[in-house]
Amino acid sequence: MSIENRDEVALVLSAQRGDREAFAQLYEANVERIYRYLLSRLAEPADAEDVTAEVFMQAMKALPSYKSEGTPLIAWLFRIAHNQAVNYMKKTARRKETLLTETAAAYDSPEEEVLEKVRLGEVIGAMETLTDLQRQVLSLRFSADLSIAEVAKVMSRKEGAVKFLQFSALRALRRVPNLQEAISHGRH
Amino acid sequence: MDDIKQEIVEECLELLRQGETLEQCLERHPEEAADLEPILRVALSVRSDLAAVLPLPTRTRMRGRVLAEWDRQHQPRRWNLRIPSIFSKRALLPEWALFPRLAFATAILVVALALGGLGTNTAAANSVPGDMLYPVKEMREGVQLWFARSPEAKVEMYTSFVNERVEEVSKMAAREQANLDAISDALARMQEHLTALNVVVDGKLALSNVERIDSDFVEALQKSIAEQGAAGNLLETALEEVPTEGRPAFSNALNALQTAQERVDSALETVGQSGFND
Repeated sequence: MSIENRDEVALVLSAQRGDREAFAQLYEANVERIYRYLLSRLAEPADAEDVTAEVFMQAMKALPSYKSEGTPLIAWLFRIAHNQAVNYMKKTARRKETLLTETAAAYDSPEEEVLEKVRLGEVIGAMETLTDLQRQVLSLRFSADLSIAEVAKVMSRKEGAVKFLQFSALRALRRVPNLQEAISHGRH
Repeated sequence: MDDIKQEIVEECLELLRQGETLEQCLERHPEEAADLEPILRVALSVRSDLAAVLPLPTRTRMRGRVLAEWDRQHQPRRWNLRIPSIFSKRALLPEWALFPRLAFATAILVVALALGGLGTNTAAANSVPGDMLYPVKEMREGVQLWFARSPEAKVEMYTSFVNERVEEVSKMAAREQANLDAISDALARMQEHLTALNVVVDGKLALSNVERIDSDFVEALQKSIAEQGAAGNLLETALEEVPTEGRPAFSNALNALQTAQERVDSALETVGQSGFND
């Protein structure tokens, strides 16, 4: 679900005046990309769900002071999502290297679901070798499906800098043995 | 040279997004193909693996949580006075304990008269420094703090005061003519609350056997750290609203919030490392 920019501005104004339905529409329009971004940062669907809900609750609180000024709402939401993800990772100090084993062992879910978690874990595990900025660029580009220009707005950086981060991240991932092995075996 | 490759990678990613194949893209740049192919394969792999679908039950559950919070936040505020547990255990109290009950009732009466009813109290709760009803809000906070006796109640109280100050700053920053002095004062008071919070946390850890720290205190710390993170986000948003000369006060406040979060985080670690059991 996507909404035109002028509709978004109108919905934001209505939500700022206390219109619940307007806020619900803004939620529907943006939740999928925020969830995917957070899943790519946190790896665990339950964590991504909790933090996504938290992002919208924070946005709700801060909405009265939000001004669009040409920047789409999603850019503002991604900034909140990034801060929330960093806080969450710091708080839980989770050990990602144990996650896959625990997930595969603990989940009583269909084989395909487990395989998907394993695949996601491989990529996220490989992304651990990158800097935080490189990870952020890949998550915004490939899980949230933003363009270079949009990523630049979210991260308050120039497009050239984002392209450089994307390129250096992909080049670094090329050297991660597990990911390379998975690609060469045709799992990706 | 890398600049050219960065541009080609980006161009190919866009073409792949539009449905072109990897081979077609590489044919456009034969001299770079050998270098580009592995990088583009990695990009395709990352894109395909990160493109998770949001399951409908998850989407519905989150929507329910978010809208429930909307409803909660948009209800009129009520005066939530904390009553010490001593007053609910009358049967266990000696005769003299009736005196605090009388004192409590008198205090309620005085405060109620001072506040002039629920309507005034709601308006006071939404006030910001400089508003006519703001002193009522300050007095109410003083009363609430007086009643918060246990360390966990104090942690909750100071955390909620931090949130109040940040919300006030956010409201003031959103005004057309932001009063920078009032904002700076509110931020300074927020830092005082954080200092007081740290004193409570340090005191509790210093005076208690960490193996016997109760779950209420741990929960209060966990809640506090989450709320401080949220307050930081709100403050960062408000920061963008104020002119440059008002920003140093925000930087100090954000640093203080960061330090306080680290302090609470470290307290939780101390408790966790000591084998906390409920």
